[in-house]
Amino acid sequence: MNDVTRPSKDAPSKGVSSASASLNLAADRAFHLPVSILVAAGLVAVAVTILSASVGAAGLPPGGVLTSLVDRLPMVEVSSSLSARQQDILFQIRLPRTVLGLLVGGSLALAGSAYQGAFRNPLADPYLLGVSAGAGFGAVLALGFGLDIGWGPFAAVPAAAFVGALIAVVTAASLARNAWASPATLLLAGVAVAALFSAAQTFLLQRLTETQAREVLSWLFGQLNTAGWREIGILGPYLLVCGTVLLLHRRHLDVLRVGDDEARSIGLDPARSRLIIIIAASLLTAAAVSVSGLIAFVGLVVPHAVRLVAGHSYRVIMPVSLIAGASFLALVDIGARTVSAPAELPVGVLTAFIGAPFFALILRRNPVQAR
Amino acid sequence: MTLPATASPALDHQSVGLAVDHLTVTIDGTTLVEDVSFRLEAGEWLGLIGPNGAGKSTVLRALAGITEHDGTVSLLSDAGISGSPLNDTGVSTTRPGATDIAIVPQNPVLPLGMTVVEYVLLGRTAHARDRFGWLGGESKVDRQVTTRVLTQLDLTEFATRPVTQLSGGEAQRTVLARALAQEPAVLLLDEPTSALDIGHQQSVLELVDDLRRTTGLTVLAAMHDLTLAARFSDRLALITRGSLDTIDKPEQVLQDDLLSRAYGVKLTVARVDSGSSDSHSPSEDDSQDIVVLPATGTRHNR
Repeated sequence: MNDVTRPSKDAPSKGVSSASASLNLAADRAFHLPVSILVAAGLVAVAVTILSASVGAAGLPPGGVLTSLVDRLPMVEVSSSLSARQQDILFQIRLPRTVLGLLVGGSLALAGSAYQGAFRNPLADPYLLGVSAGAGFGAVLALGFGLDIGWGPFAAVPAAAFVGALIAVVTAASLARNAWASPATLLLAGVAVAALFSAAQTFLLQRLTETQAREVLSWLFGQLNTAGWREIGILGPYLLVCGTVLLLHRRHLDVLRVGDDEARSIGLDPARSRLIIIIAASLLTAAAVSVSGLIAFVGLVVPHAVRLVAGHSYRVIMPVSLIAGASFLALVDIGARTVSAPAELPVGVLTAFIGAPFFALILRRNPVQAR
Repeated sequence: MTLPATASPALDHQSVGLAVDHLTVTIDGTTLVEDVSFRLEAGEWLGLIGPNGAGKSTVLRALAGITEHDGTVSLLSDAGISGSPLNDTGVSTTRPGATDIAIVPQNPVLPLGMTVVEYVLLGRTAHARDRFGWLGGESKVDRQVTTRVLTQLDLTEFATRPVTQLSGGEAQRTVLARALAQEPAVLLLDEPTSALDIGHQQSVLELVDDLRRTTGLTVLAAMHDLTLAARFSDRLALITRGSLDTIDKPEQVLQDDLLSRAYGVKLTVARVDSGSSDSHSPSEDDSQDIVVLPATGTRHNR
């Protein structure tokens, strides 16, 4: 890819010198990621991380947080102003939660952009195929009825939620005839499966005691409660593998934008690409949901916001959504744990509170562009 | 919109033809095209004509790999096709793909917010795949081809414009550019001029004809306008009810009785002096156009 950064060498040789400048500019834009946007998003993410690690019941000085973090980098030695106890708070409580927020937000936003591209539908979000309903159903079983299918690092609730989410998606995909070649059918099957699992979940919720039901509801609303680094160990590998697969397929999503027929005529197998993308995005979503519950709106709103800022190409939308989603959720989580401290707001409620008006605003400002 | 004489060839292919044998397309139990066989000679322009619903688009969509089909489609070359083994009759044994055959669809999807250069770059999908596998990105070559095609089709000034903000003629050229970026040996055109005014119809077809002459492109075009079809095509293939009715030189196919039967209305074929000395009808020495008119009087009885 580095070779193409020298536009003058690639210019057609004859009779186009006048037009070649603008053409090369356009080609540059088509061939390269917008470095400035990626860098800006990355800087915001770093700032949010430091802010999130500093703010809380016991405030830590941001400068000390920064130096402590830098000190942990390999081959870097700086002395931090934080006391040993502050270091413990940072690395055992504050940082795991911040990192979990970053990972969950990035996962949901990336999966959301993948779903929007694979379904060619602006309303697609990671919960479209029943992931949320399936996970909720599993969580009710685990929290209220003692279902324990946990193994290894997976505790009972995340394991049940993860399996429930996957069962829902697999059911939707197998219900739909010719699912991967016909996204509309798959989408409808997803709606049906989600309705079924929601009904089952509501039915079970009714049989629970009030205390149990409250526990289930608070899980459903989404939270970033961590016990050390365990949740990160669960979600991290999924984000690494599925995220890589999704980012490698970002060009496929651009080709799919011309529709399945034309995609086939220019050499892409749409069903195959869609299969891989939806499997990767669903696994990633299921893993995120299993450690954090149902956090609304991140997967829907963040890719749209990115689209408005950075353009319509998935090769840009996907990596930028990953970073922006991470920052967004980590930022909102600061609010979730400080607004009504010492009580915590469910972060999923707050994302919807902030996300819905924001989404309405960008829709109003760009009624057509938001499509 | 004639190409400058210095235009470099868009395609490195030598002229390659197409052999279509027993092409049958069945969708959901309905047979849309049945047992169509023809040879498309290297560098030839074959016009597909016939009434609506006869199966012209279905034939093109099958050849472009959009719809499944029975029968065989293979590339034809005297000189052999690099990378594809040939059997003893000069027919390639590998099934042609998106690097061999490109289509300009009748109603192309122009994605919101996609720029012209991004759109044309989509045409490189199959090449990027062949070089690097399914996840391959575009290379320097892809960029060269993209910029060359944009230059060739006089689209450089539109390169950064969203494809949704183009006029009909510009959009048609952009879609053509995407097809040419595939570096195909065979170009399929599905009603390339149906959305254009008479001036743009002429210029788009002349553009393709120039490319055919300079680069040896082989063209198969479904066309409604029989006069234009006759002017640009070396031969015409008349498709009726999913079958190949007649395939011959335009003046042989465009006959009163043949067309009247095919279209179900009484038609009269007339010849007029087109008055142009540089007529784009290489198959004919004269400069006469064939004009097909509805005959006055009652409906033709099938």
